[in-house]
Amino acid sequence: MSQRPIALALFLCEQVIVDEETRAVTLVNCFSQRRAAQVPAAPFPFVLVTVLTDGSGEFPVEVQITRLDTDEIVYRREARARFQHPLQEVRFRLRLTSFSFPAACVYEVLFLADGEVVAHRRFEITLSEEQT
Amino acid sequence: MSEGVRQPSSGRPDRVEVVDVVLEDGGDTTVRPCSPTVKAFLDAQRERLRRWEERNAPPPANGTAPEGP
Repeated sequence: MSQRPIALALFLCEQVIVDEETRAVTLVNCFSQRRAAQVPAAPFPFVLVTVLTDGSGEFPVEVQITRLDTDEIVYRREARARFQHPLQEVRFRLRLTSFSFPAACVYEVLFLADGEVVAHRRFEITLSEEQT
Repeated sequence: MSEGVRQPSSGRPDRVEVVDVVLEDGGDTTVRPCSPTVKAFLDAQRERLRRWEERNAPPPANGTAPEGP
């Protein structure tokens, strides 16, 4: 019987360092707001990191970035995650280097497993002061 | 785009094992309305925030407490 996982965390950060020997992960420069000189914002590289556990079976998973001013999805990425047992942790990392945020507003970053939201966080693009 | 999955060394259920799923770029940037499930989630979140703001609103200037639960 399958069991939908829960998320232990969801972060946006600039860099992820993985120790080759221990597989331990270090997140560098986690953020929830970025300034842009203009919109659409010039792409900046970032990494979405989420850790899932307490699942069993295989699930479709999906990252969605939604504008909260219009409730429109501006980015989605699908994948699959397989849990062999509930103690297993699945560390999901999505590196985006070319995505351009279309507006200066608040976004909701959602991580869905089997169609249900299991993790989310808000993220804001603001215009640099000289542009406002 | 590259995609890699690191499989665990064993399937023993008595210890924590970590699997890394790494994705790079790709994805769909087509702008579209969010799904009914996500819309309901976002609306419920807004409602929770609205209630919190109501509960934590500053008292009126005359000192009377706001009505409501």
